[in-house]
Amino acid sequence: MLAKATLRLPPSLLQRLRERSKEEGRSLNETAARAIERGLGGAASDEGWSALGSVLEEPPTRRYDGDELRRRWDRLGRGARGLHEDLDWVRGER
Amino acid sequence: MIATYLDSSALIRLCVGEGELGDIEEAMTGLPITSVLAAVEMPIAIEARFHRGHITADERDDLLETVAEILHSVGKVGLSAAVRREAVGTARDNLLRALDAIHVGTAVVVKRHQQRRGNTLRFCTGDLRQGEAAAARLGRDRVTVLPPL
Repeated sequence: MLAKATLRLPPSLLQRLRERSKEEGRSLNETAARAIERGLGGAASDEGWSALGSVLEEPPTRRYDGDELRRRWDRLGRGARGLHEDLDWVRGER
Repeated sequence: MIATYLDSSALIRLCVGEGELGDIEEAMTGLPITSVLAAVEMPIAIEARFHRGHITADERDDLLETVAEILHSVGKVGLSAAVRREAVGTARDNLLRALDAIHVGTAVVVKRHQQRRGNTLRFCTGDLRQGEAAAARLGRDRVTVLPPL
């Protein structure tokens, strides 16, 4: 689960985060989370994918954008709900 | 480092925003992994929904774009000999359909690879029976079965 928190940052640091977010094409939230994790010694970096080695046939080419996905959900009609039932059918379970 | 294997039954929920998505979204912001099989199953499920008359052609195209968007953000593992072997091995001890077994077998191969590097793999699915099989192969504490829709 993702948890919410409010952080108070120096304006200059917030500006740097915004610039980094723009440069990397990530949301401000994701940029901040990754910067914090790196600062705490975590591994939120592209090295994580290379660690998966040869088992990975197709590495990801984009960062997950939850905000964009939510905009897509808002555009969906009611008929799209229940798509999991079609997946069950694809898997021979219906 | 924790990677998460996402079965198609979890990823399909993300396409339409159905159900509890916290675990899935958390996985998507880390190291999300699935099988190349998901890139076949999910579009075909959307086509089936269209052919059944539940969605229009425009909605189908929107959903196919959404699937592509999601899958671009996920690392995909191929159907190697090791994966096929583990899939069959999984079905030896559990009653599983072939596609479910391929996902679990893929996760077993990824886990083995991850362990060599001291990393951890979680498995996330919306399918209870597959979740049981995954728990038997990966460890119960590594498996998340999403609440039914």
